[in-house]
Amino acid sequence: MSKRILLVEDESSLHELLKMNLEMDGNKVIGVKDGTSAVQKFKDEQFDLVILDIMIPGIDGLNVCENIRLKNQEVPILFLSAKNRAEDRIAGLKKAPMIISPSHLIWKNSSLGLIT
Amino acid sequence: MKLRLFLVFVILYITAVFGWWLYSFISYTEKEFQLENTNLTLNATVIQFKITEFIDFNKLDKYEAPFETYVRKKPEIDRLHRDLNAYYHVKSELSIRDSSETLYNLVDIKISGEEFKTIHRNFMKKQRAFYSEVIFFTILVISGVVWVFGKLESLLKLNKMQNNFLLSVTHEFKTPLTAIKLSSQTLERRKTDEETRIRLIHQLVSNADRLNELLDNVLLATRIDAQNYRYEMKSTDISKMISETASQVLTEPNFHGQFIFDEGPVHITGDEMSLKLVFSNLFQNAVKYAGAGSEIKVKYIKDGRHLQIVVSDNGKGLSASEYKAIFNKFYRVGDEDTRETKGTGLGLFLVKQILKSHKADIKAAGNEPSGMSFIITFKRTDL
Repeated sequence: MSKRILLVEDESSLHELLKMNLEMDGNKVIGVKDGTSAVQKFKDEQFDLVILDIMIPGIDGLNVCENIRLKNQEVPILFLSAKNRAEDRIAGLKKAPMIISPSHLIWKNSSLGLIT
Repeated sequence: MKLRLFLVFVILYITAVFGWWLYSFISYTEKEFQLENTNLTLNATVIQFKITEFIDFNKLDKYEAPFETYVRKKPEIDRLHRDLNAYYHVKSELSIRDSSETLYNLVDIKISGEEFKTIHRNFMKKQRAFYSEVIFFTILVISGVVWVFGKLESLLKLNKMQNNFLLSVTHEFKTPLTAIKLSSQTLERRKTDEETRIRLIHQLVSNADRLNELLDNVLLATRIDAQNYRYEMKSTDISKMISETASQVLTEPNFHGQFIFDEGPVHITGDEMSLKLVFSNLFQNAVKYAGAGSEIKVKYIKDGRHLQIVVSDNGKGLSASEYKAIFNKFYRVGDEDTRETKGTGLGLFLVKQILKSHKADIKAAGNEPSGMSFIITFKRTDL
């Protein structure tokens, strides 16, 4: 079943790989590379899932999440992070259901199905 | 912040202790002075009474012939007067008689002469000594405390920067690693067409390169920092080297800006490997901070004894307050979580160290109308 996914990731190689894989699974992926355009895109369009990197230019991932939650309480948000710091994980958990590493996101996509 | 508060508290405490010390010493000497003063006053009074006694003719009248008594006692009275005048200054003398016709010789005295001057001088000397002692020690202790806290604070700052460095370096390593993992897993698990396969392989190679470059940078930084790196100095055409370094940046898929070079061979004596790192760092920074579409200019300015190489971009630039700090080890522009770019904070530190070994200098400055310039000054070796 095709989902509309908003992907916010500024590292171009990761961005390309994630987008490629999510599209191979039959999703429609809208990719942006910074926080400001992520908030703008979410305002303009409807999404079934948001995948957010924490360290992005403009507004950081946590603030983007806050912005989205002010408008929409329902849409699932996944934090994508290579960071392992406990405080990042806790800060993320307060706002989003889970933090996930990129390869988990793609290969354990049963979890993706559960969320959306 | 807590440290600062503690510092202020310690300084206040020290000032209070020394203040109390000063106060107690001063008040002690003051008491001593007053005691000596009182003793002298008492002596004066005693002498005064003796004189009064001698010249109280009314009393003497009853027992002896006044004139004879006076004559007999005159030398003694004179001696007492001399004593009195030596030690005390008699301000006024007033003789009165009361209703019973008793004579009172009222003398208003003030301590004077050498005695008083000496004890007063001693008192002032002691007071001055205490003041200077206390001020000296207070300054010594406070500057000591400030020095120790300054050191402590800079150590804490370096420690924090080092932690930041570890964080950002871990992140820097993780990103290409994750990309490599994802690309290889995609190749392994999915049926891909030829075009996608080539894209994925390109991702693998470029991310491996990125990891490699990062490791090289960290290793070189460690070696240069530990003064373990051996520079191989030889005459080099630096303009050729710079355009070679620039061509690497130009081949990056993300970069769609342009380079503008001055023409002609420019020779300096230097170590090629490390100098390449200098310019690749400067160019990467320009791309990173000025954006993928930036225009990077390289100018060579020769004057009498110096060769200047100016690398400038047309990005947003930095505030003047950061021009110096960016060359510090682990320094990163902005805050760790919200900063717009990624990096280790080692690049410009390395650049500065390498150039230092070439006896060259680097300065950051603003560029007109916008952006940054880096001005590198070498001593000319082609003369």
